[in-house]
Amino acid sequence: MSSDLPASPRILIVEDDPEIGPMLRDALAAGGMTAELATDGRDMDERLRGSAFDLVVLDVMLPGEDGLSLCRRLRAGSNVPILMLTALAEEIDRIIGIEIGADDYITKPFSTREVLARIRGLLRRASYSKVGTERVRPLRFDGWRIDPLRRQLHDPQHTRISLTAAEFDLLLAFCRNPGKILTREELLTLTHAGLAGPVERSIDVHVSRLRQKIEADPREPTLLKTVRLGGYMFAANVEPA
Amino acid sequence: MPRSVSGQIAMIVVVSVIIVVVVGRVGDMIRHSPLLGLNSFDTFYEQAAAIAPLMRQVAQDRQDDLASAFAGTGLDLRVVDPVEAERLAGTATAPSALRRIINWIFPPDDEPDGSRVFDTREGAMLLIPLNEASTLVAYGPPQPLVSNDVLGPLSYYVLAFATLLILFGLYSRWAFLAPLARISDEVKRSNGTEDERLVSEHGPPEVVALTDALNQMRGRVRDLLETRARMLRGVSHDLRTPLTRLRQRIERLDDEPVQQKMLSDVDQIDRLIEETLDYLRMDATGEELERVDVASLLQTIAADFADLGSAIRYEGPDHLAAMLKPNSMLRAVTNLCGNGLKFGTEVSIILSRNESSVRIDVVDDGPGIPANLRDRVLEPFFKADLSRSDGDRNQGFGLGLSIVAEIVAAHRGRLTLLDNEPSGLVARVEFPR
Ligand SMILES: Nc1ncnc2c1ncn2[C@@H]1O[C@H](COP(=O)(O)OP(=O)(O)OP(=O)(O)O)[C@@H](O)[C@H]1O
Repeated sequence: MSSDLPASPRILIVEDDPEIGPMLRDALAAGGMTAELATDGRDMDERLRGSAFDLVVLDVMLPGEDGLSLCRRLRAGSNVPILMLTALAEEIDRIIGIEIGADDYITKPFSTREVLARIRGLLRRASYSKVGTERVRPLRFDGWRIDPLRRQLHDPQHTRISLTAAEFDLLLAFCRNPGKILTREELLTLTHAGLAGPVERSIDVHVSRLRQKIEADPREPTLLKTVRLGGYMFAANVEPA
Repeated sequence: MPRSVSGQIAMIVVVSVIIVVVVGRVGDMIRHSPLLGLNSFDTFYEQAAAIAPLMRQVAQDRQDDLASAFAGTGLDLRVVDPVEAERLAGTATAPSALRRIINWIFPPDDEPDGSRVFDTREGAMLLIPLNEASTLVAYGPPQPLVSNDVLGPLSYYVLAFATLLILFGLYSRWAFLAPLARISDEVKRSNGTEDERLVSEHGPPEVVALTDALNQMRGRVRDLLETRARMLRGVSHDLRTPLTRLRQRIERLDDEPVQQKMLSDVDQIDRLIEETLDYLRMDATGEELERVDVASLLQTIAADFADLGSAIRYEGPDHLAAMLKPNSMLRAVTNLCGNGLKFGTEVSIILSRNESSVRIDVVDDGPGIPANLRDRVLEPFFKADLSRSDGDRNQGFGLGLSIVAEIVAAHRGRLTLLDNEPSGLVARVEFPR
């Protein structure tokens, strides 16, 4: 899997705390990444001008221009994946919402292992999907609406359907590849569903849970079809919403 | 129409006076009309009372003549001596019970000339003493039950009283009772923090002022809650930054066992911050209600627990749409399931509904909660099993159920704790659809 990632991804950390920043930088370096540290927005702009980065780790609370505004600005001009660091769980909705547009977040106090895992996940996602606004645009199929940014799914009656993270990733992967046969291995990498928890679930379990929620009759699926020996195929017509 | 209460009351008084005068005059006219028969007795009485003083001027032996001279005019007069007068008085019929009651309530005026009225079988009999030796006896039409001198003032009293009563009753209903009932309804319905204001568009300024005062108080309560939440956010932020440093430093330690203990301490502090914030957040800033498929929400919770290695069963319909705050409700049911797994081994989530409400039961097979503690476990920081010492890292802070209760209240719903059969707890969440 790591073959999909840049050999030594370049990460820009924007964090003003004199200890957290350097320690995080060292930890990323130890994890095989090239990390640079900026302590505020101006510093960040300078470094971004100087060279290209594969990902930006951005603290929400910064002196001067705060992280949310930096993120919004960054998002307007580039597609670089952004991981936000926040001390407040309640900011999360805004952070990954349309308004701010970060790709992922992690709450303080975080563990180094967690940060590394999130960064790798984001890099992998970026390398798979066509990076761009297309990646986050809501999609529509068969009256349903899926919003990748807010991670929300609505049925044709505008009722929100709740999904687990793995189910959502799975459905999104299907929506981005309608009419194509996706093997279990492909789905596993697309959704990193296998990494979900201590209990390994096969793709089949997630698919059957997903069918429970979106198929009129889960035993006679019309959207999520099983292809014998192959895998699964999404039979709906998907268009931008 | 005056705007102030005093002005409106003054207006009601004026209106009442006008009504009393007009209706009273009409009543007088009706009373004096011959149709009612009140007049003939009055006329008879007045005439007899007018003749008596004249009779006193006349010599004793001519009084009889004078009396008989009136014969044929409708006035039947006689002059008798006092002994005969008393005898006649004795023959009069006793006053009826009704008359006695009326006389007791409205005592007849004492006549200065000592005249007395009696009822006989033929009609009224009037005895007017002329002097020591003679008494004038006059027979006339029967005395009515109530006389005009009673009826006149009485009807005005009653009329004025009734008018004021009715007008004030209607007025206070319109001006106070109805608006107050509406306001108290609103206050009861609101949870004190929503932005909508109490309605106060009609009613006198005093009532409008009351709504304004309540609105202001509501604003202050909201400000207070917001300040509290903001302060807590600040504190938690400033706590988490050093906590992050601490954690990073701990991760660099070489001593694995010590490292593990320290990390779990950091986690515990972090959880406390998180849960306290959660508890305080529920009331102040709110998620919006939206149409959510509750069934999918509960299935998601069950699946997430299953992926973490604990089986939780979902029973209920495949789909059920309801208005709720999805993240909060997810949080609440997850908390209940977590408690169920902490105290029991098997947990199920049961979803059902009726026409007006949705019910989510989280059922476990643990020891349950004794009835006398059920109210208290909903209080923040209350832990029922005090036997477990503080050293136990798995012990909660006693915030879980309080958070659930807050969330359910934010849905205008109810959290009830019940016994499960044969053992265990049923945490029941009910909220309107
Ligand atoms: N399902 C249950 N069965 C038995 N007792 C329970 C159950 N749920 C809660 N309790 C009792 O109620 C008390 C309060 O529970 P609450 O969830 O508020 O806090 P907690 O479990 O101590 O920790 P946390 O704040 O982490 O949730 C607990 O200490 C426990 O004694």
